[in-house]
Amino acid sequence: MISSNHRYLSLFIHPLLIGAMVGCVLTPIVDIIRTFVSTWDSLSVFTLCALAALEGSYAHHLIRARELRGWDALRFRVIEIGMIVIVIKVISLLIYPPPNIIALLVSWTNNPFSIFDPQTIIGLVIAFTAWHTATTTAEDIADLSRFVFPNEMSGSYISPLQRLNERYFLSGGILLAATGVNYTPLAELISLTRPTLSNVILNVLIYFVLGLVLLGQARYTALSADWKMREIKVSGDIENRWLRYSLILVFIAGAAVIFLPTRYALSLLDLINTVIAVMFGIVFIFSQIIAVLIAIPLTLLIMFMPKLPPLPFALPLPPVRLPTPPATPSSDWTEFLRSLIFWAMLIGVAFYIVVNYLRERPELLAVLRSSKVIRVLRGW
Amino acid sequence: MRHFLPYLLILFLLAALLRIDFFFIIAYFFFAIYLLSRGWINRIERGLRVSRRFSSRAFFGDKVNVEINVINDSWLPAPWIELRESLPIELATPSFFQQVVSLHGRGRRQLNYTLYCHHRGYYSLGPLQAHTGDLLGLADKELKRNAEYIIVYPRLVSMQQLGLPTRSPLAILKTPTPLFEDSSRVIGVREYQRGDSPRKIHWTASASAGQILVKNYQPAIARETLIALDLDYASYPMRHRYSAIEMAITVAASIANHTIVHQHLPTGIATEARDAASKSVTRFFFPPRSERSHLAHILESLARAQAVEGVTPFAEMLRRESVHLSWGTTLLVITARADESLLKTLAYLQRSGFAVALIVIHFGRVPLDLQAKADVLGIKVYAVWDDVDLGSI
Repeated sequence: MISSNHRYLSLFIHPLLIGAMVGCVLTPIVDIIRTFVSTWDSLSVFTLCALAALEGSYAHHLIRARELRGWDALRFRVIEIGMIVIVIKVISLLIYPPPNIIALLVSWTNNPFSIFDPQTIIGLVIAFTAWHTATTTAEDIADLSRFVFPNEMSGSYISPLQRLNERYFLSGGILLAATGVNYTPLAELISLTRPTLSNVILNVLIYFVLGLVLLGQARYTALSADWKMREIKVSGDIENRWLRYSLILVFIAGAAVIFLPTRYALSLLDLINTVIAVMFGIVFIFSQIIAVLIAIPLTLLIMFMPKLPPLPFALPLPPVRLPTPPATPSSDWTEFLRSLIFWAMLIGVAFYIVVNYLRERPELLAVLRSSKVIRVLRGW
Repeated sequence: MRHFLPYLLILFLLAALLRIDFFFIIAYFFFAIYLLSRGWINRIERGLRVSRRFSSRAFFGDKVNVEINVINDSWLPAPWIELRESLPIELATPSFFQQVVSLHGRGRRQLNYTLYCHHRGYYSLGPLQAHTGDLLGLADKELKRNAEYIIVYPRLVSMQQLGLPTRSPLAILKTPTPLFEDSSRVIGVREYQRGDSPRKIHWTASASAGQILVKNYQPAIARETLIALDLDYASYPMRHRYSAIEMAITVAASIANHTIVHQHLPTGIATEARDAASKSVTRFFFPPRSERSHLAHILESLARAQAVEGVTPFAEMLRRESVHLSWGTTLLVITARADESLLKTLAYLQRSGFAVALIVIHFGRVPLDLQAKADVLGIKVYAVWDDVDLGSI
């Protein structure tokens, strides 16, 4: 019962939460990108992150369960990455359908790299970020229960819990920076006198609260694994109490922050701003002095050097025009053959990836087979 | 959680730079979490009481239940407390007790473990370490409770099991030496009889009774026994050293128990050994007495005594301790090595008016040469090895 609960948690709940957190971080970044290129909306970003995180976590579970190593693991990963690329492309085409599908296919044939348009590339970056975060987090969570040999505990050793903490805070910093840049025009970023923003930013709130509860759970996992390894008897219902106490702690801290007069921090903020401004000023003056001190001897040196004659000015030669090759009667035929080979290869690779991906995940295949749409399609 | 405060500082700087009020709230939120966690664990540390309850004296073969009471005097719950107590390997396997508990505010928990007293000795329980912390790894505290000690008395076996005569003091009953009286120990008065020394007349009692009464003295000879135990490491054969030493201590304890409990006779002990409590070579000397509390002291000393090298030679120690004994005391000498010097000392002590018996910790019968020498000297010799063999001795 407990193991099935844990399996459910590690396979579904944790990846979904991690996906949501990655989505929280990536949303403001995508928002910034959207100011330059038309791309995914926030809901799509969250969906991509959740899917990629689920996939990454499940793949990690499969690799561990099947003990895949070396070539097998590499093949598994290549198929997985290929599948992610295919799915992202398909989703991209479904959400943003092209006006002329034939023209698109022709452009792909002429230039295969045009498959990876900005939309797809941004989608891939989002998906791979979520996938990588989910995979490394799943690895760290799995490592929490692993026995650490004394020879591994060298000076550079970082415990999985510490890695999780660092990732959480680093991502939190990126989230704050991206959100801040998103809310403030770049030109005004260093203005110390602009008015402050005081609205609640939902993705920031979700990220930090969710992360804090997850970190509490990770700490419990690490401790309980340690107790288990040392065969320490644990009495009482610590697991449930842990979650309860974590929520109470977060609630009390949240309530304290909301009800205490934290807005007085703005005067502190102004003070900090003044200090920063003064520091910047001092640094600027010093850099100017140093620049002047370097420039004066250089100027003097140049003044006393003998004057060289100016280089003769010449216009560049016009490019030589190559003769155009005569048209051959078989060019249409070879073009068609090339296109055929390209599509055959593309479809073949995609088919291979999809088939192998589903073969390696029989549970997913079973779910797909039992779904109504597939049954209707097969019957038809 | 390492680097939490630097992270918090960066968070504040970001909030200050970006001038977003909500970021400040987030930074304050983390600061509140940090303060709450530390305050919480500090309260738990102040309110946590861990005590140990057990019987500090145990007989060989006893099972001692040790109770550990963990009390949280704080109103705040303790999410987890990891307790770890070091235990002597001779009494418990594994040699530690560890458990994790969670306590409500004002909660208490009683934990138990059992010690199996199959080895005599003086053992420390603990120190007991209690480790607790918060939910996020922001605060950790460790409490330490000092070690306490348990004494396991030596194994006590019946004299029949040891193959020794039950009528103690062993050799004295056959001695022709008349009883002497100790004039310092008056046990009553009686009517004057012809031949009584005038020095024995109790003048005060005679005056109040109106007739001549004489003092009745406690007999001072023959009813006292001193067990002299050799705990020099070198006196015991290397091959069976541990078991031979333990057997010697068992014999000493059993005889003391028999004479004090069953025969109500004064018994003392003299040995020189390493004291497990003070960790130094100590002279254990208890002059013969017959109270039960005295037996407890003897057994306690035997529990703490450990064989050691470089002590005073046994024969020399016997001569030294005999100075403190009454004339006619039975001297029971327990050793595994009865060499010439020891036999000479025993002969000397016998000539000095002590009744001497020698118990040799030896496999099989008493060696023939030793038996012959002892017969010549008129010293009774017994050989003891283990319980099974004892009956045949």
